[in-house]
Amino acid sequence: MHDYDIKNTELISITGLNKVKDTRVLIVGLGGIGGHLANHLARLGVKTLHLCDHDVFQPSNINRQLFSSVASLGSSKADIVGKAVQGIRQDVKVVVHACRIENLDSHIWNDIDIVMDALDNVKTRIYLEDMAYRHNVPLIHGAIGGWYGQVGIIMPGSRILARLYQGKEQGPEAILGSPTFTPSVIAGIMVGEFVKCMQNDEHALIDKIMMIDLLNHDYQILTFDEPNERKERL
Amino acid sequence: MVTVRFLNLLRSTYKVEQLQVLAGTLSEVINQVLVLVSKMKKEDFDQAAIFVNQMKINHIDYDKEILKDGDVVVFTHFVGGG
Repeated sequence: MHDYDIKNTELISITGLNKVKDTRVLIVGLGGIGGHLANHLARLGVKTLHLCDHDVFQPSNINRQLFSSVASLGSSKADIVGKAVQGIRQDVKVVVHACRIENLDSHIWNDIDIVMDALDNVKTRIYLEDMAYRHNVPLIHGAIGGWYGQVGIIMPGSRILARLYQGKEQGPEAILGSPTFTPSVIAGIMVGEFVKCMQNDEHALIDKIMMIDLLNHDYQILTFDEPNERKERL
Repeated sequence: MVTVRFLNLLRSTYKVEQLQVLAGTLSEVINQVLVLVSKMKKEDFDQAAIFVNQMKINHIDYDKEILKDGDVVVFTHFVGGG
């Protein structure tokens, strides 16, 4: 165990932490949620981090995207986040994919144990859910809109996102906006669920969606019936 | 009675968290809500995800879904931003 990990072992057993660190994670979307995910996972000591985003930093990102700055405007999010994460811990293997998830080489999926959905649109989320299913990889979903957010762990075959969004291409986030504070809260919860999932903790939000309302201080866990085609993993 | 709960945007927009209505089909429950919360519109329910006793149901089941005394129905909107 590295000295960097000491404060985590008060909560996570060394065996559990080693399992967390050995898990190869793909983060898709490196904006509001994704930047915080990369930061948290690097500090957890996850040894292999794949970072995927085709976009560049824009002025409207600065209010919430952790690694955006005046100096990074116009630069690739994947490149900037990759360098920042590498600077946090040199023992993290960072693999940068400055492309759309649709254009990610299919062989990359062989190097992924879990994928984290930090996208900003419903259509690509549904695509990602389908790809995770095809490659039998669990998906940790997180999304925000204004004061609200949602988090869940989607096992291959449950198709919860497709059932959740029911063909809609956009939620109310277009009118609710993306404030400074909500993405970091949701990213923190997603990483907590990642740790629980890796430790087979009974509290993990497996095939459930937790609705988070920061305005009214309300958390609700919602469930889905069992689809026929589900495959188990982990 | 059936407990009707509103989460997130619906709760904030209409300043209503929970109502009690008579048991019946989901359509009948929604009609009662529209009377009790006069500013709420039928379109709000078209856009909402619906859970009965924490389990997701499909919109096509509006008239087939029978809500019994003691059931809890949740209406919410999902977000997709990042």
